[in-house]
Amino acid sequence: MAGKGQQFTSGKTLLFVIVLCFTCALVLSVLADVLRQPQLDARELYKSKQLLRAAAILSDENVFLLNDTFASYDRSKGTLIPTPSQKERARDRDILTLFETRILARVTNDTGQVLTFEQAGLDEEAYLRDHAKYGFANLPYKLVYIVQPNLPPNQLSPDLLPYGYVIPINGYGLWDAIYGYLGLKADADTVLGMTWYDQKETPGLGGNIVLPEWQNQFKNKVIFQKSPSGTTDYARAPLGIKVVKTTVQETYGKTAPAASAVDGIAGASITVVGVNEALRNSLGPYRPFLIQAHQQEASQ
Amino acid sequence: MWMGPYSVLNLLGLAIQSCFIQNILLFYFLGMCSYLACSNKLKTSNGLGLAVFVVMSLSGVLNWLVHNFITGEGALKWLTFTGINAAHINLSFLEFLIYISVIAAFVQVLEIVIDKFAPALYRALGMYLPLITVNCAILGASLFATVRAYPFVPNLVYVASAGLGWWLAIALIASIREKLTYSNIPAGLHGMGMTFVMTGLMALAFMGFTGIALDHISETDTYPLLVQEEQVQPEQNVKF
Amino acid sequence: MKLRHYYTDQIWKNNQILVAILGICSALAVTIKVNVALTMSLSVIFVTGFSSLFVSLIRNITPPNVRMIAQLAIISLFVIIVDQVLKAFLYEMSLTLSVFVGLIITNCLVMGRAESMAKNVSPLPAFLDGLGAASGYALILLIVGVIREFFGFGSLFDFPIIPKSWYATPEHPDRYVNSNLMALAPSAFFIIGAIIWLRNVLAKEEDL
Repeated sequence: MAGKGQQFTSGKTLLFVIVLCFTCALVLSVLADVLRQPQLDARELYKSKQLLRAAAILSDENVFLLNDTFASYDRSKGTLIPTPSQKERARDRDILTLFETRILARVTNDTGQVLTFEQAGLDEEAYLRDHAKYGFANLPYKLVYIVQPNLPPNQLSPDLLPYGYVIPINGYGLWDAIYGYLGLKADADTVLGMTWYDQKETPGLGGNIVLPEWQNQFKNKVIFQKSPSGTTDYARAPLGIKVVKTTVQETYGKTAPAASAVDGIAGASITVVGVNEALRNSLGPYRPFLIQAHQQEASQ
Repeated sequence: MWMGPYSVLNLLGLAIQSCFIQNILLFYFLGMCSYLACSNKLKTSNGLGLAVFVVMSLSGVLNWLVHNFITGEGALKWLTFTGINAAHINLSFLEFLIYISVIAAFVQVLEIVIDKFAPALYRALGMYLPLITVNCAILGASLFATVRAYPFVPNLVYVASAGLGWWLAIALIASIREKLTYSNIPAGLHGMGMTFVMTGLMALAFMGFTGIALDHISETDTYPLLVQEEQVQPEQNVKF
Repeated sequence: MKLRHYYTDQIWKNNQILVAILGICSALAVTIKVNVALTMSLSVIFVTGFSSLFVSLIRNITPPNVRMIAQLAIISLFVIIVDQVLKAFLYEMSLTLSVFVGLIITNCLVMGRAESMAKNVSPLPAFLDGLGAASGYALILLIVGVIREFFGFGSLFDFPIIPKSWYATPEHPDRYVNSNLMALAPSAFFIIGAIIWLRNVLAKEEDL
């Protein structure tokens, strides 16, 4: 075998190491460059899907929805058109286009005022990156997504009454932090949908919070708890959706709190407590914004 | 960056979490190879555990520095004082390579240091020291810490407790295996088979620690809302 | 040794997990579902095959005192390739696998093949040996994955196997309860322990 007994001087060793490092770095740099755009797209697509599902624009089978009926995306008009009899899977490109045109990322402050990132003096990328881990609820400027109505892009403007809002929710489950999106209708009270996009709960138990069957319960619940008389005191009512231990039927029957509660998951008590606290702690600081959004919708 | 929003109580919770509840060996099953191969005697297991603890803690800190100043997103912004605007360069694809090189280099340096200052320990550890480089647990602790984006002090607490947890697990299985040499088990299960079953049982037992949540960062006071909840309870009795 | 024996030897007779007890680390946490186990298996096959090939290609010009770090660098190269490709084209799978793809670098199996075989033989046998070792690993991973997913979730490849009509009634839609032990990681230990026992018994019978 050639090479046995060959003396390796320090110089040759150093040369070998340098060439090896350089080759590895070169190969990886080229690969990373080539794959950068697909990677960014994949990440954006995942986030878009979760957010659109929370806003009830995408179903859990990746079919577009328009007011609870199946829809498809018309590329020439740039809107969704209802196709109740046809269940067509949404294309990735369309999902991303819809996300870019209809979802506006804004921030809100303690008085409920909605500002763009420039107006608040923030760099959007840095803001999203720095606060992804601990959440946005306790910051002076809190992230909120405005969902615009189903109109062609040239008719959309920030002054239109929104179709809904999406609030980022975060908290702790059993094993690690959990992150999700809560979609609300324009009245900032009724829930459109709830998704969890990052969780490390036990599969089959706490991990069931990502199952569509469980998430569908959140639809049409209200986050401001109604008083027994049926009215809602937006300034003082408890804020959040409660996941009960057994079923809502057993715990609350038909009383007022039932409109703000969903069934629990057997064997996942700690995850369920985590979800409750995540919703409560994440929504609480948004109260001024939610009240202001509700009043804006009520006045129209 | 140094402490983040973690309080001292959170750090204690983090230590308990990474040492007992999410034990890097019994929950994530990292570092199994050397664990299974070298846990016959308690003495060698202790030596190996100590070595892993030292390497894991210190390389964990070094890798935190690598992630936050070289390979993380936007990590190169400290270069701006030299005039180079490098904040948008993303070197995250080199992360694995640099991590494993740091660990290998550190183990090499540690070997030389131990040989010079504690030759007896060097002889006792023998061939295990170079093997630590490829111990999944050490790279694993660094990778988990990166994914969870800990600030500096929580990162140190995390990797140190993870190392202690690994040491604990290997010491436990070694003491059980020493006693097991006198037990009557089926021939096919001797050795590895039995170790696997025992490790599985130990892993299940350690899950009993679940639920200690001291490391959760709480920024809002939840008591006022609890009071409101109590006021709502009496309405349950109203049935339609 | 015949060329194909480099490949077939490693699948059961010298299966790296059962006989050499290497490569356990990632075998346990990623066997929760078959599609995860399959992705991991394919990644390890790719990494082991090609890293063995390249280690063998440069075996004559590698200085002995940097041999181990050179092997680590080559293995890391291929692991990073797998990781980057997964992040670009199978994003949700990469989220599930998270750090375990990176841990292939320190997977004793990959390193073991490079150290014991690849640096001593020519490229083609080394490549086949690497593929074979990882295929044996994949076999065990898939067996454990199938058992865990079937008993733990009642499905295979996320496709429900046990029909709801067999057990669900309108009053008790959740009458069938999956084995939660299988959904937890320690079950992989018990299953692998049982397979080792089986293998030892079979090997002993062969000798007799």
